[in-house]
Amino acid sequence: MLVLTRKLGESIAIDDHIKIMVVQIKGKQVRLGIKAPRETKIHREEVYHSIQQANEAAASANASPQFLSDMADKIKNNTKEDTQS
Amino acid sequence: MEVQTSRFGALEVAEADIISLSEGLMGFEDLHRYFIVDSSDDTMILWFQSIDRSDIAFPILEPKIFRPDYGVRLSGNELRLLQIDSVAKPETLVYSILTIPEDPCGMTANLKAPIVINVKEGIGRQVVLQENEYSVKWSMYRELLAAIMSAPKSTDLVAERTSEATAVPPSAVDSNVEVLAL
Repeated sequence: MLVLTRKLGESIAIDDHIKIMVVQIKGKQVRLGIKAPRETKIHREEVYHSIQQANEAAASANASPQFLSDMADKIKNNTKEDTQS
Repeated sequence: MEVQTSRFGALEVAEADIISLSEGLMGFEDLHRYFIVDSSDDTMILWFQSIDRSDIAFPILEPKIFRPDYGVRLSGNELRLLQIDSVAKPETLVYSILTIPEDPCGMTANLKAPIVINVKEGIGRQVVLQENEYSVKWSMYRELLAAIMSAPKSTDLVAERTSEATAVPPSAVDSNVEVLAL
């Protein structure tokens, strides 16, 4: 990993189009300003962790196809009693 | 080919219906081949079933069903990787992965990172959208409920419909999520 030291207000440039500036330093927090082309995706790294966790939760949930089918039937029967004979 | 699944038993999957995810799904980077299963119930929820792991399947749903204003903006790089040249083409499908807890009222959809599929090429990716208002855990049970209630009962439509699960060609699914280039 490349490690650079920057002061408040200073920037680093990545490629020709991406600029990251130290906007504020407050205790243990650093505020960064990022200038990049529109199509550059910028995310806090936690976003990836939360997506990974959501995927794992989705795959391991015990919602079986039968569970969903029962759920749909229950909803339909509760709301469409007049159409049932 | 015949694919074993823990939820649906053995299913016959046509080569053309296989969706390749070169990078897999986040947390499941080793699994690259999936197909879509319609379990023929009234929920409109489909399953994104792994070919390589019989026990891995994700409930998926078209986000427009519960979030009508949903749109997907892809970067130039994502469009290239998905081989989508013109963005509004019908071969582009978008699905949200659902997390369904024991109490379905707590059901959530991942709007932040949908699966985008190019049906024609049989390739897909989980993309992370830039929009901050799209949550990874968007509660949508009420909206789904409303959609199910307003949809005709499948048994009314097809009298002798079997409840057997089938692998569906992704192209058979009608998607109307707008996909735009950044």
